[in-house]
Amino acid sequence: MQRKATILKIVQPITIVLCAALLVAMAMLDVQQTALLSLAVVILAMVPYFLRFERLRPKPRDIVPIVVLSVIAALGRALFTFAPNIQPVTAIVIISGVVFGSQAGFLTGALSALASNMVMGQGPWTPWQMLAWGLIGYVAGVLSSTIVFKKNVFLLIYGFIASFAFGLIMNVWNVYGFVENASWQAYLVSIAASSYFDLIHAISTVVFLGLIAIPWRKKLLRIKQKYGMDDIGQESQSTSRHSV
Amino acid sequence: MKHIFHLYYPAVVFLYIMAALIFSMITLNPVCIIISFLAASGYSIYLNGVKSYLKTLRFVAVMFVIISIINPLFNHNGVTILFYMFDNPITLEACLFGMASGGMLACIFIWFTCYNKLMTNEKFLHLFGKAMPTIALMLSMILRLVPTTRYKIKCITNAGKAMGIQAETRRKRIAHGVRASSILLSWTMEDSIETAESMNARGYGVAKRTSFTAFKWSPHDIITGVIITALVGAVIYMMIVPFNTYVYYPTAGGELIAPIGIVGYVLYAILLCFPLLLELRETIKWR
Repeated sequence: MQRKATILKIVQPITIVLCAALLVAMAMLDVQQTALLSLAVVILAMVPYFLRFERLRPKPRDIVPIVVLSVIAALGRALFTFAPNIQPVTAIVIISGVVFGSQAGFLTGALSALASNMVMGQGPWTPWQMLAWGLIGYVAGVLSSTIVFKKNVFLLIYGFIASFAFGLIMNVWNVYGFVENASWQAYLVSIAASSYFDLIHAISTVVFLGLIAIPWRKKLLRIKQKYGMDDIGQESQSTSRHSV
Repeated sequence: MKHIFHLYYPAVVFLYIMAALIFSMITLNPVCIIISFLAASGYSIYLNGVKSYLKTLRFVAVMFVIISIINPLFNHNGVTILFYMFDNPITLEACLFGMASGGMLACIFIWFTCYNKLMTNEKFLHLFGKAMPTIALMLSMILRLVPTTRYKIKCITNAGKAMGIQAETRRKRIAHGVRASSILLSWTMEDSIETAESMNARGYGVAKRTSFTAFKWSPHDIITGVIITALVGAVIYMMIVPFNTYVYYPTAGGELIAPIGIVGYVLYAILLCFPLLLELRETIKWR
């Protein structure tokens, strides 16, 4: 079980790169049926993450924080339905990744997207949003182990960049879903068309991060320490874990 | 509202709606698009009501127009040049293709309004819960916690009001919002740890998790499942053996209504209208 999970850990980024390459290849080779194929590729890209999580057999204490953060993110998104680009999901997903690690970050992102769409309505965009937010959380988790994220300024910068990255990923869907022959030109036009909304998204993420990042991070770290929780998929670090 | 697929096993419903969605996504044959649009519209009106459908239609119509305009602007394939725009030829074929892909997307959007009505959360969890038990558990926990958390938010704001905290200025309102969110986080987190301890105490992870389910296979489901599968197979066959060849480039055209092709269209229509036909049968039976 554990070994398979470790293999999957390496497989995860490789799958992402492969899937990105597949998407580019689809555009280069003028493949038909891009809408359906790209959806399949995106779903495929998420499989190693979910599989690894299942394989790790997470304890209730590891899954519950993810659940709670996803709920708050989904509710926060529902709160701002009138302006879909202003939403706290990106910020909350980043915090989750930073505090609980890359796996938790991915899951928070993917589940927030899936759950909030269960309330607001599913569509072909659901898998794309799941992947985009999931990756934001994953990368946040990966970076959190480096020194960079110790400073809150870098967290804000990451939030700003990540929001635009979210836009870039969603624009891939816009091109594959809506344009006949995917090309760089179409992608660039799509980016240009959405840049204003992405900017609003980025600013809102930075604002939300600024408002919640410092207090929430502190609180979550305290809770994590108090109850002896580990990062999922990491070797046990805290010796104070008391089992019931 | 009660619809007949309410009574069917989730896998059968999922098979139907996925067939409708995927076929709508892959076919650019204009007749197929029209069939899909009519079937999706009919079923969406049946499931969601006219008012909700018109709302969807308004959105879908805008999208259709945008895509129909954008495609010829970016695509200069085709031989029939209508006019030049910024030195770029606008071709009739690209216009037609744009309309076809716009129509295709319109169908997908309308089908998704049906999907949202048909595949309720519990059906979704029932279908995918076995493959990914932990994820399914988390999803159902999220769905459970949404109303709980809403209630908690209400409690926090009410408590604030009772303490005389009033938001006069925007600055203060934001400060209160931040404070409330912080309180909410601590509260839900501490609660959730309690939940986790309780789950531990009750033996979570000791054995395989079973889950309550209200769904059971019945002969009806099997018959309907077989019929839908057969129809899907037939439509796939008709699509692979291109009975109705329609190409957009270089010149738009092709055999749209070949005799054998009509059989394909009818099969496609039956597949897409299957639940509506079932409903019709019920109505006739119980008249």
